[in-house]
Amino acid sequence: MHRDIKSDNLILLEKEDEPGKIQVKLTDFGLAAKIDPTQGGLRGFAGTPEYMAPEVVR
Amino acid sequence: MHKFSDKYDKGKQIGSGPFGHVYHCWVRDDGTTAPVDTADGSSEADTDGKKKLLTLKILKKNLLSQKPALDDLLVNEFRVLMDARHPNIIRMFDIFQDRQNFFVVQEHLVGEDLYSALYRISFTEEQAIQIIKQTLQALKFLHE
Repeated sequence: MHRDIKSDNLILLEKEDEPGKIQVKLTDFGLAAKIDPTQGGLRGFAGTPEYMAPEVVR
Repeated sequence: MHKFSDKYDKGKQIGSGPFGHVYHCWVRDDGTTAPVDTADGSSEADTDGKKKLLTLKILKKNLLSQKPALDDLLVNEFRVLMDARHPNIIRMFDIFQDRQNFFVVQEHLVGEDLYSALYRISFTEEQAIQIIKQTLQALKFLHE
């Protein structure tokens, strides 16, 4: 679903109901939906090399 | 309802990314459109009557380097995300496309990404636990 989980794509907010507490929001599904036509659509390559699992990079 | 501009007004640019630019936006106030329902279940208007601020991403199709035939596939994937409602996942409200661009309307967040935050903040163990836990809850939700 989201194929590019990394710290850049996690937004930290302050919880509205609990000041001082961190609220995490997963964002940026834009790249997650990036398509490499050579890989046949949405199952294809997505990700940032530094964060990719070795078996995906290979 | 096929065009972004039929339903929304674009505001100032607030950022940019590898595939395009990011703007403020609002539901157009012409009385002809249904209210957008927001993450907290309120209508698009705040209690003071001001329009709820949203974020617009305009993504260039040529920078996404994909075949036109796959555009509808991508739009469909975004539509799935529009149904994903979880406190740890950004709300997606709409997606439109024209010949050159995708228009993605989403929840407006004022915060900092974790990558940048790590440069200036040393999180406590408890904060780290919260960040990891909430991230995993978002992932679990997406995979179910």
